[in-house]
Amino acid sequence: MARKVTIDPITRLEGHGKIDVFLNDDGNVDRAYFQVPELRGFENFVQGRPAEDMPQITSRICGVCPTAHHMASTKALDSLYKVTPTATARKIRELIYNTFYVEDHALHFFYLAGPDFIAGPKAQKGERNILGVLGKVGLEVGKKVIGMRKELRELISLIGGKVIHPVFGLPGGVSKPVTEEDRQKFVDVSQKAVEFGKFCLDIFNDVVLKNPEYVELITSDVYTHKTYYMGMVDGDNKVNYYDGDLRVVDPDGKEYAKFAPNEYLSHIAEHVEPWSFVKFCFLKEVGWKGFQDGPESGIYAVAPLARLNASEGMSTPLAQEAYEQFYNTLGGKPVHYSLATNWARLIELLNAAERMRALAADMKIAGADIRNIPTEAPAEGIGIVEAPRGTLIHHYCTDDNGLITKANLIVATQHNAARIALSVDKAAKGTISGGNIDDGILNLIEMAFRAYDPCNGCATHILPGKIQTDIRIYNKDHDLLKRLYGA
Amino acid sequence: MNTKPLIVGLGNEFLGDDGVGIAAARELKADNTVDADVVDCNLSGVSLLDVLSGYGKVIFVDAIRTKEFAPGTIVELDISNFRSIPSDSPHHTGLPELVNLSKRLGIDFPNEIVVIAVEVEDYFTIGANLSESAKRAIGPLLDKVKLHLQLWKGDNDFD
Repeated sequence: MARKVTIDPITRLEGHGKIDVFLNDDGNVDRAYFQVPELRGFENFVQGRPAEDMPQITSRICGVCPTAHHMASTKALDSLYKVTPTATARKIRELIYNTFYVEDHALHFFYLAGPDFIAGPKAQKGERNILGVLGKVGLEVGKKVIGMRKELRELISLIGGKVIHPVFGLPGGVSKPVTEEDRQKFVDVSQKAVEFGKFCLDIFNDVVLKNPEYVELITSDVYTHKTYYMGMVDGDNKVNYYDGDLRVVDPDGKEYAKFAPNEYLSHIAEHVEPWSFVKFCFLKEVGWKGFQDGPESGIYAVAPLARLNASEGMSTPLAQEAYEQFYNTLGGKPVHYSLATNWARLIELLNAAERMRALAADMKIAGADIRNIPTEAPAEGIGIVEAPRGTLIHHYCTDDNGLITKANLIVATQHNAARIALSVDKAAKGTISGGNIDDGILNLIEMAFRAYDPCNGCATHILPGKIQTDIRIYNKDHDLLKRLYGA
Repeated sequence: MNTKPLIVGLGNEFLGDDGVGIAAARELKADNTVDADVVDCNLSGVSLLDVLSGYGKVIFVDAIRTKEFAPGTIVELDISNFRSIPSDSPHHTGLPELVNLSKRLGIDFPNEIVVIAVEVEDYFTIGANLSESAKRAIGPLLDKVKLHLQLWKGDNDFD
């Protein structure tokens, strides 16, 4: 007789996101910590491996954004071998990357943020999921989202191999040209993607912006932090996901710094807290002043809201219109409401779709010159892209034979970690007083970090998956009072 | 609807025993007597929909850690073993939710789902090799998979 085994996610909680809330003598929150256990050995693991394997290795580390790791790693190899991709290869990379963006942003909005904003923050627990979202917007919308993602993923597979294991990036170019037939497919699907982007923004307008309760939530104090913002921009300071300089604006929205990817170490430093294995990034020149916002504190954010704040606009007309509406509605630049990230994400989705359309319309993308062969000896390479979740840095050093001697990866969650910690602490303080623990704490805390879509797996260089949280609340004697699990 | 069964090796090959499903899937890919589509991936949640849609029958091969069995034990599960939304969070999307979602959307989704998992020891160390217990489990795991394929084939012949 087979034994009945029941599997629930709690058995896999070991090693995932953990939040510790410590109360003081009065039963109020002393401090809430958001932490991730260590995963051992990434740097050791890659040491001695050929740098050319890194685009494959790093894309397999994370199942959530393999395309972003693959692209950052490929760009790090360009830099390592001192080779510039051909104009055609650059266009192909950018086309694939924007296609990935549309797909990934759609996934996040409907499945992860959607339950908060479409089903609604006050919806019953059983309704606050993707099925609740469909209940509100209709099954046809669900089919549309799934169908759109499928077409986008098929396009990526045409050029990049399997979406889950991309193989197209090589130092100096790409592995496969775009045929005229493929280009035509991109033209067709990109047109649908633009329509889809407009449709998503319409849903956001109708369901969220016309509902004062949701707008109040977006602008609520718990999720407001006046920090610096960083994002990649093109030569006109417009948002760019694939390439450009990094631009930082201060809490008033003024340009604070603008630098080329290979200067990142002069601007970004990492702070280590004894209670966390995540390194908290901060702006080196402003300095680490603890967990506080404001111009004196070097805490900054990345991801869609930060990219919009750090830029002077969008590179395409429809997204630019949406960008202007965004700032007009939310009271000008910069916007400090973390939850506005969900709106910013949809503006980027439309922008990426328009970029796809423009790149696919360019006949030259079907050219045959897809690679410059590297001839220089490798030494050190830095590649940076904007992953959907924020700035992604790959930095490798090698010996003369191209074997890795040192690797440093900074992922979006590390840039955002300090700001997320601010939100978690504020949410805990808002829901616990005099020893009374409001059950709403779990959702408030989860909403705080869901907006950034952090991948703790990635931040500690591991297995991904959506974070599973484990919130523990302790009294002043460090006795456990309550424990809550999230997804 | 694809008439071939699908075998999905889940896990992360760079995380010690978490890669046991991936290793098993690779052996199945290389075995040309296996009449099934085989993929290996480290996806979860809704992203798995993209992989599964269009198939009628699927076998997952994966690592599992219940601490109820000795490492290397093969644990066979079906959909009834997975609790629906056991977490306090409404955002969790597990296998039962995927089944529900695909029904609601009218997506072709496997109506026969089998999970064959190996109880593992260490799935947290990057770059670690499979432990001895996980390595030894691969043979019996493959036998189980092939047995299921045989059974399904028999069903088809019977039809």
